[in-house]
Amino acid sequence: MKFKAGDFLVIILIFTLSAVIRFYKLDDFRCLNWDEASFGYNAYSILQTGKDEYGTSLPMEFKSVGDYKYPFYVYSLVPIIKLWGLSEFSVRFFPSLLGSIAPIFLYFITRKLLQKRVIAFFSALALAISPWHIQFTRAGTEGGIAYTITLAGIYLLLKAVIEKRGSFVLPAIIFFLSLYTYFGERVFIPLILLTTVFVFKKEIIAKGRKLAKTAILTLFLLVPILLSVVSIGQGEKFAKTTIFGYRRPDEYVFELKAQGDSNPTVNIFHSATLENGLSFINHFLNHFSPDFLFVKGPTEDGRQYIWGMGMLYLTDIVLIIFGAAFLYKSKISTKYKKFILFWILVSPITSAITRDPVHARRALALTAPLSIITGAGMYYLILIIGKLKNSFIKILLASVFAASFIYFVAFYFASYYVFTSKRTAVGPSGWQCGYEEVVTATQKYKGSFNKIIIDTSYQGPYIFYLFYEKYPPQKYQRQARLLGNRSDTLGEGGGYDNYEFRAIYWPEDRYLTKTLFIGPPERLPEKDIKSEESQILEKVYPYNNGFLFHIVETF
Amino acid sequence: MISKLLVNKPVFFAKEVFQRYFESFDPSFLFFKGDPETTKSSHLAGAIYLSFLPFFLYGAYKNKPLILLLIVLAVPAAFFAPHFETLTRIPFLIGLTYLTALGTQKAYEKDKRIFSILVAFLFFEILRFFHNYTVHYPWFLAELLNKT
Repeated sequence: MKFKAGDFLVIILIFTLSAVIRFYKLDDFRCLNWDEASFGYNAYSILQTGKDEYGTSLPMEFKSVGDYKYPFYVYSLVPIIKLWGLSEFSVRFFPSLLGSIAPIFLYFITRKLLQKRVIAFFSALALAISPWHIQFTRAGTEGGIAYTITLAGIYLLLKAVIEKRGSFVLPAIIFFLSLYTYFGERVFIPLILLTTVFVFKKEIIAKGRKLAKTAILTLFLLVPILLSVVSIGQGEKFAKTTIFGYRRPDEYVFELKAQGDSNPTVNIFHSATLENGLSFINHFLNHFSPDFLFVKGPTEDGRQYIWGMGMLYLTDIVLIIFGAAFLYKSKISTKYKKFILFWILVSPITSAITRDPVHARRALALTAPLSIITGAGMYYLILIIGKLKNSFIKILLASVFAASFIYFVAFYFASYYVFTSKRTAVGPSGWQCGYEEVVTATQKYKGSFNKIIIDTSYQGPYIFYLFYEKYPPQKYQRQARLLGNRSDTLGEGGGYDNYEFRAIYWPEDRYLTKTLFIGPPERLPEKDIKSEESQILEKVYPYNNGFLFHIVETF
Repeated sequence: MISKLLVNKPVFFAKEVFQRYFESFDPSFLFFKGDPETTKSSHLAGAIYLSFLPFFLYGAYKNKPLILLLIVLAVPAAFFAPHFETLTRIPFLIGLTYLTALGTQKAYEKDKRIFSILVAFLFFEILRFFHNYTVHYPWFLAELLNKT
């Protein structure tokens, strides 16, 4: 299918819509979370010193809080921070930009697979307004960036496979870029490649000679990845995230035996392999649960969910059913249909191998094939309604569907900007609000105390202090230390200058004289601040009829 | 004003109904956990066996009009307050089992090897269920009684 002026118009239209949705109130609406702050500060550190926060020169993995972040996002932030400085907007600009481009790649993929411009347009539109996709491309997540790159790779790969002149070199390079962006792509990309080989084996075999060049390039590009796989950092990341690294506590088996299990029954009915396998299947299927997709979403994680709805619009269920029916009935090549089906099936595997029962960010790959089907569904629904002879029924059905769709889109934006933000502003899995304000407030007292202790219960205060103070990286690198980084938990920066980051235990800490304490009210309860030994200097960030942080001085 | 248009009693009620309706199709409920109420489920198994899934999918694929029956059978549970409630979902589960049976028959006719593997897994699941039901479930019930 040749590129026409119409395609250009569609691209402009889709990109404008995506960009408006993804850039509107980008930096002043959602609070920065510690991952974003860490990406930003490490990029700032690279810009200033050529080293990460721990002083490692141009690393291929960033230790950060013990999660060993992948390098592409950090390095891509360097020129942006050089241009606009270290700010929330700088950190979020690149993910939002790539998120706005993603529907364009999907447009071309759909056009190639389904051979209809109008379906490609609807699919791109579905992705542009997809709550699931917006969620992870409006915030600084490496998953959103990686998936856009992967979509570009998938498009070029399909082009290479389907077209006579196609080359495999470019998709190989693009895929490798994605592999250096997000952990999930290291699982998803091999799976989508296997899918491609499985579906298009004849076409690929026919291009045997062309593959030789790509194979050599692939081997060359694979070396650093293979090296990083066996590195301590990636080993830790793997152990902390996946079910393969999970070791059942001994108490679990003791309890089973106390309830009446014997050694053979534990081995038969409760073996770790069986339970991990079942857990994998459970997690995999959870991503197709209507509850997750259309009703509630992943409510456990504030950064993933949108209050009052699932990861997609409720009306999408109708479109997906119609889209599936269209694909089943249409005369499109079975290979293309198979490719879309396997794309859907392999997408949640990245998430299913982790310990979370369901995880929207790790399963972001599902958004594209689901958008293709949604787009096909829009097309098919319009076609069916258009064919109805009774114009009253025709208008009625069209109006009901259009009204429902508009309602759910309006509800989504209201929920995103109003209802959800109040509910997910706080806590380790929330948006970590209040840190910017508390860092600003701290500056007034910083010079007056020998020691300032900041509580870590809301996770990662050290990185917010570094980020918002724009603390010189060369000074921090000499003081950097990560505490509490264990196989099952992430660590915390220990401190710098007169800052100490740790859990505050007020019954003991109240006896530390001439110290400034900063923490949430549950750690520094107002009723326990006695005027003879301490006083509240300031309360920061109003929230839920109270404040998120108390700043307390001891005498 | 806009908030009231978007979130109001009828909308809230409709969403609650949809939520309960879709709970019938929840994989965790169907294959892994079952009813959240301990007296109605051991929490160590779902409302049906996991090995039913491939047979069910095959049965549904071969008998597409019957999927409509399943869609209708899930309706009653949507109007009952408890979430993931099993008793109101019995008609739905019967419909699901019927489609599974149809799929099992077709699978037997098509590929006896795959059929045998899945049936072997089904037997294992039945054994596992009875093991959990007789060994571990009483402990959960006892814990529940202790709490109340």
